[in-house]
Amino acid sequence: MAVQKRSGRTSREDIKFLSNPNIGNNRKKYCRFRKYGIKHIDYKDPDFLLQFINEQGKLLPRRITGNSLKFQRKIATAVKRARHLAMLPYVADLLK
Amino acid sequence: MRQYETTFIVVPALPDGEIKKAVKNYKDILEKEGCEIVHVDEIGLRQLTYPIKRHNSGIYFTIEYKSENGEIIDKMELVFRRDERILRFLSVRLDKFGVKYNEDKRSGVIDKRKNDLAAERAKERAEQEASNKEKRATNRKSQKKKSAERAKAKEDAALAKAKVTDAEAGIAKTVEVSADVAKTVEVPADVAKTVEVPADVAKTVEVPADVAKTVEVPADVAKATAEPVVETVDTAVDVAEEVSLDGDILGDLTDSDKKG
Repeated sequence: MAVQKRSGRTSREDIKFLSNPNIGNNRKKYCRFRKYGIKHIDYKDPDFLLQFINEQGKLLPRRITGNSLKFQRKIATAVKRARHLAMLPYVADLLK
Repeated sequence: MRQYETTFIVVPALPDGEIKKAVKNYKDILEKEGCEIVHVDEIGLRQLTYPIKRHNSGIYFTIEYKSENGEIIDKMELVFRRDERILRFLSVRLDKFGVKYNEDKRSGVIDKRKNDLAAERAKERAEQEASNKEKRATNRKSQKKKSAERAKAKEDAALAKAKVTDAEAGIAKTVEVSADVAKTVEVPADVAKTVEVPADVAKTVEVPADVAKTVEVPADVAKATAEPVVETVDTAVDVAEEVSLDGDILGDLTDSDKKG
């Protein structure tokens, strides 16, 4: 019995680790500004804005952040202002 | 009255008085034009993310003020441009949310809210992690079980091997059993083939029939030994070789039985 059990399970486990283990639980994205009632985005808070840019300092798309259009625009202006004030880089490598 | 906010960066390599003087200068300009200064915030020395005029750090200041219209900003920005102590400046009109945000920030509400948000997010993350951990734990449990099984099988195999070195009968019996198990169990055809090889090997080993009968291999050991045999035929062959080398057996047979 042990023989069959093991050979069967090994193959299944191998397949399992080839794919992303989090692939099943797809969490719904939401706009955090709407959810938590944040009305104003401060351009002087680079740590907060860091959540919306990628490693190269580029703005992340709404597709990924889940922001609503209104707040994505606000984020974009805030990031641009922060860049002007040298609080965020225009170009970067390994920002995070 | 509209509320504006001007942030500017002052060169850090200045004597303290000079910096204060610069800030005072701009405050004076605003006040002279009839603006109402709401707040002057010194953010302080910050590292610049990219060098400006060969400076790697700067002192940040923010002035909030109310003005009838934005004409003052043009005038002030002209002064900013002419001032060598200023690295950068940015003037922004605040909407009602911005005004409220700055008020809240001054009274410390925002920081609290921010912390709350951070806590909430951390909690969410923790929850997710917990669920992930649970899944991983169950996985690990099954793996552990498997590895334990394997360890046990190995141990049993080693025991059986020891027995074999003592007694030729051991291998003959165990290998035969493994072959039987392989046949009775529904095994993929290729595995069954691999099993057949040690069985042949076992046949080539000349074992006295009565010895084989006297050795009673416990059923679980037999099962366990079946596994490594299936996995690696080589071990079985090795064992078989050892068996053919070793002749003296029967004396220790009883001991090994006790072990089994």
